[in-house]
Amino acid sequence: MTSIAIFKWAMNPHDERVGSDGQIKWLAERPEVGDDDYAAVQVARDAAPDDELVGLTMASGDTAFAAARGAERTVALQGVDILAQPTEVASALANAVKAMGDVSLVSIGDSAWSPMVPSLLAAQLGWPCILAVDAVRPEGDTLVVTRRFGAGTQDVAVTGPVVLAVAARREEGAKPGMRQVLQARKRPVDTVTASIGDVPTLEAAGLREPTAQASKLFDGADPAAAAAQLVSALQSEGVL
Amino acid sequence: MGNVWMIVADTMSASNVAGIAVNAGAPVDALVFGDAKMAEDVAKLGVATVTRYDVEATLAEAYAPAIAEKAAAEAPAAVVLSDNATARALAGAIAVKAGAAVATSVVSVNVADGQATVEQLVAEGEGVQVLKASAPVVCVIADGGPDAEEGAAVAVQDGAADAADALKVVATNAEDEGATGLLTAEKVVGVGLGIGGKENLALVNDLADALGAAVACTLPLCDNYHWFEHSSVVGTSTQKISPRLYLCAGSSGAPQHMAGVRSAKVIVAINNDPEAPVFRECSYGIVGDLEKVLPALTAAVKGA
Repeated sequence: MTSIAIFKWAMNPHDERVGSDGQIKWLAERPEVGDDDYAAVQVARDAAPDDELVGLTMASGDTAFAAARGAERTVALQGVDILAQPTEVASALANAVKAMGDVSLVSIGDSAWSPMVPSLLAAQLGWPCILAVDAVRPEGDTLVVTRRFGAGTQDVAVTGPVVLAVAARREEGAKPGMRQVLQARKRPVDTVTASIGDVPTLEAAGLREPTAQASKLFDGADPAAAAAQLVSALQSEGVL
Repeated sequence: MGNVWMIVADTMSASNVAGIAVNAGAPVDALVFGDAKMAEDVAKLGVATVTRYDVEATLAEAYAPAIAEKAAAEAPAAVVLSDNATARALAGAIAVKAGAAVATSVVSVNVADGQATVEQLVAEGEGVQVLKASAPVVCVIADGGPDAEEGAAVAVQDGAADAADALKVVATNAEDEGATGLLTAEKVVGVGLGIGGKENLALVNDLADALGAAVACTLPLCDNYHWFEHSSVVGTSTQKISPRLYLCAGSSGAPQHMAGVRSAKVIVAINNDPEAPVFRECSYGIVGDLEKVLPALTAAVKGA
């Protein structure tokens, strides 16, 4: 069986700009490593320690991220437009997973950059989906998934193939060193052209400026005066 | 096709979801995955119907295939939800089964002649993109949208749906719930790296005491400086809060942090850098030295 860890698949919204011509532009032209990507690889490895672990990415350039964290090989999808909509990204990923055959688990970052792709991916595969995942542990034929639930956590038992969207709680502690990265770059990378099915999309019909919501700023050069003005404003708002 | 669905799986975002759904120009059917109180609250938000699915014994996500079948049969013009994890898991199944397109960071939905036009924030709020749908559309709303106005309650119906066997709840661990009181606090004072030295936390605590507020922090103050427990961190990777007042002291306004507080009714920022991004996201701000402004504000609050 194979476990798949998806990484570098979402565009970083910090790179999105509105150009002077009123068109949306991207400063970077490829997906970046997301905050949750390292945790997605970790969860895929923990879920099935004896299975083959494959990295799946939409990145060009350096594709060794998952290999440096334990993946035996990587599949790099090419040809997905940077303006692709969530349904299209999910379709490309789902078709790549289906092409790999005997897959038991897909782990992907529960990215705030593109919050609907993991569940769309699961639905296109016809698999259940658990989001906001913290950790996993195999128990016989069952996978016990710990996910965030309210302010606590919840353990969910899963049987059969599943898509897990992993949300990292903090930055990666021990990043791979240069030696691991260099070794990872020697592992196989299969570059394949993405296959996007006939999925529904939205038609862009214009771009406008957001409704202005000016902040009221007080000059703190006179702290007492600024504090008094702020307190008065908050009393007017009814929050003090 | 014609009605609007709203999916609710948490109390915090229900009013914001309804604020967009009920202004879409079509009757709203609310599907609530939670307890009876949550459903009763949603029933007051201007919706046409409320159907509650019991998630005491069954994982809400296990209903996904059945809810998706229902969507395919009823063909809502739009499905509106927050970024709550359970709601998104259900919405993915709905989108694929009902042949829906998907939009995120949505600030408005308008349904006319059974088809939806959606507005979404782009470029971190620098622009609003208008999108037209020729099929149903699943809309994940942007944080900090308008609340729905409360009115007369409609009756809550009990929903019946088959649950998939592949998912079972083993245990719910709520021991951390309420440890910091952030999720239920009406007022929160947040601290960022701009606070300077650890000794300045006393200034923050004094202000929080005067306000009757809980104290939160940004991720670096927990992970890098270890001044706070992880349960005090607010942001994308930790927890989202929705107090009536969020007062942000010494945070530049990093997106990771602000995503956790945008649902606050009023955001106040104090920072010595007038160009700090947080001043673009707050309702009120004081540009000044925290060591001088915080004591002055504490005194002003006590005197109010």
